[in-house]
This record gives sequence, structure tokens and C-alpha cells, in this order.
Amino acid sequence: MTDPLKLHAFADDQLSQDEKTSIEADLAECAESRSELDCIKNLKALVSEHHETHECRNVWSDCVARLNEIDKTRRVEGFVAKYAWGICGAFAACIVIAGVAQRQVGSRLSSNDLARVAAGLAQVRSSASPADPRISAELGRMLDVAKLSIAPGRMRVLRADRGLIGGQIATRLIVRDAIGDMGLIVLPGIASFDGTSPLRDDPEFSVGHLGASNCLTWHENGRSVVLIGERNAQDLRDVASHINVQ
Amino acid sequence: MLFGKRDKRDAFERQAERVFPSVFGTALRLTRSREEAEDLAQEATIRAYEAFDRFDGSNFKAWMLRILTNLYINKYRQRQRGPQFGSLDEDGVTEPMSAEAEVPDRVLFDNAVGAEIEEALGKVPVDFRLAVILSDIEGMSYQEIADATNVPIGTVRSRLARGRSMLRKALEEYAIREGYLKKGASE
Repeated sequence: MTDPLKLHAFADDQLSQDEKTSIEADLAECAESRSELDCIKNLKALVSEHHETHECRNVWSDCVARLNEIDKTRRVEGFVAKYAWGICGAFAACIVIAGVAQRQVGSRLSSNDLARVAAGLAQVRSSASPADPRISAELGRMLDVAKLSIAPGRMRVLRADRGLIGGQIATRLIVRDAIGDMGLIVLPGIASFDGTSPLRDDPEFSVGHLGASNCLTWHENGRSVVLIGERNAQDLRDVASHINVQ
Repeated sequence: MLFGKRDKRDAFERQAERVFPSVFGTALRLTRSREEAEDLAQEATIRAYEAFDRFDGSNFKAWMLRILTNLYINKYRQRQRGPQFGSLDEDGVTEPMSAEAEVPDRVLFDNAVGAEIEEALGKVPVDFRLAVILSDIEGMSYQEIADATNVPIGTVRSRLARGRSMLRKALEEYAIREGYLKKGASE
């Protein structure tokens, strides 16, 4: 009998012409091989023609939905890849613009920042003795440069420090009145100070703590003023009424 | 790039939709579970779409079935536990089908309908079943089956012969059980 594997291949039309010719010669002589071939062909026809078909439209719809998701993801990835530099540039521009806007609107200072700013100012002149008219005159000029005026009969300047913040002059004064010494810092621009809250009776002024001292802050003529002293908020407010920022 | 993205999608979808019943049917016959078959067919379709740039343009159905078969072999069969008894002696001697069954095909096949054929096919071990499915249902050539299943053509031939022999035996059992054929008639 012919090799069954060859008969299967013959039934499947998977033989070369020479092999087919050889098998056909075998089949002509061998009834058993013919019977086997018929059996193979019948089974093949049965499976081929009578197998079940399965409903799969819903599965295909799910596939299409997933393909849509893949396409959408690819579009987003493609957009990001194509315009990555542009997106980064836009973010950078936003950061710069926000920084500039923040600078124009006003900055926020914490007590640490304030101490750092104050420490960065260089001493200009100090006077332990108010009797020295030369030094007093020089401190007076400092007040003029800082566009500050204080009630002369009420307090006097002991020391003045000055420096530049953002290209504008910042000034720190140590002043003394009948009760004691205070610090007075005048900063360019409008700054808000973390940890301070508006005075209940006078919301233009804010009060807070700086170290062990109280401090009073307010804005005047486009500048920010901080008055620091070991006294209560109302006393600081009274002192502030004698300080004029031009 | 030959296709625009939209054209590529359309070209893929057009061809994939046409062959999808074959893909899903094969998945169902392999996994014998509708849920797993849906997952397998969907995953094969997605992979085919992602690899569509590499499709050589010759026979889309054979290419899809190859992806499906490889996916099944690599992924789904790893989940199966227990020995794959059907593949242990697949290169053994193939017995002729007619010798084991003196039953006339008319008696055996006239009463067989789709569900019985599918049931009998399900009893054939998966490697042999796959060869029969790809050849007799999907009409693939031996070379295409060999490519799809990553085995030599000689193995495809022997799997097909043994698969058909097992299928016939399963159909005989069905015929006896249903009373179309008396027990012992084939002996």
C-alpha cells in the first residue's frame, strides 16, 4: 500500500508533479490505497464543509474599539514627540512670565528671607554719640537718600545700612526713641510678608513676629516698610505714624 | 512610507475584518473556550495591526493565522498544565484510516453535523488539531502550516495524517453513541 502520508499530501494537492504521477500509478494498481484515499478525501470534505461558523461580530467590534484606542494613543505620542521642544519652550515661557508677573505684582518674603536681605546690606554709618554734628548730618543725608523722614524730636537714627535689591536701594536703620531701640527696614517694591496678619483696627498695617520681637509692616509710596521692636503692636503702630516714606 | 496613517488603518481593517471569522474560529477551536478565544483573537489582531508595516502583502489570512498560532503556542499553552500527550509520539508510524474502519463513510458522516464535528475535533490533541484546522478548515498549504506552527513540513504531514485518523475515530465513537452505528461494527 502507498505511504499514508503521501496519500494525505496527494489529497491535499501538496505533491510535486512527479510525485503525483507516481501516486496515481500506485492507486491504479492498489484498491487498498484507493480506499484509503477516498477515506481521507471524505473526511477532509466533511470537516471543510460542515464545520460550524461562529458569530464574532461583537468580538470584531471590540477589536475595532481597541484599534481606535491604539490610534488615539499613537496620535498623542506622535504629537508629543513632534512638538516636545515646543511644549517645553511653552512651559519655560510660562515659568518666566509667571516669575515676571510675580515680580511686578509683588514678592513674598519669609522672616528668613527678610533676615537674609537685611544681612546683605552694607553699613554706611553709625553713631553712638548723637552729639557729633558731623555724623548726625551724614545720617540725615542717608534719610534723604532713602526718602525717609522721621519725627526728629521723637527718635533719632543710630545706624544706617544700605544696599541694592533688584537694582533699587534698600535701607536698614537702627532708631532709638524714649522706650528703646528698633529696627526699620525699607525695601523697594511691594512685598508681602509670610506669617503676618492685618491689624484689626488698621488693616493697612500687618503685624507678626520676627525672632523674639514683634514687627509691623506696611506699604507706602511703592515701598515696603518693616518696623521691628520689642514692644506691642499698638506701640509699633504709634511709632509708624511718625515715619514717612516719600 | 507607502501608506498614510489613515490609509494604513483602513487597509488593515478591511483585510482583518474579512479574515476575522477564520481567526476567531481557529482561536475558539484551539482554546475551546469562548472567553479565551475572544482574548486570543483580539490580541492577535492588535499584534497584527502593530506589525502591519512588516506584512509582505502576500497572504493576509495565513499571516494572521500565523500570528494567532504563535501567540497561542507561546502564551496560552504555557498556562495549560499536565502533559501534552498528543505530541509525545507524533513522528510515529501512521496507520491507514480505512484499515481501522470498515465502516462506510456514508454511514459515518451522513448524520454528522457541525456541532458533532467540532466536538470530535475537540478530542484531538491540540498539535494535531491545529494541523487539521489549518489545512482542512482554513485551506492553508503545508508550507504555510509549517511557518505558522514553527515545525518542519515533515512534522506537518505526520500531524495531519494522525490528526485526521484521530478525528475519524472520534466521529466513529460519536456515531456509536448516538446509535447511528452499532458497537463493534467497525471491528
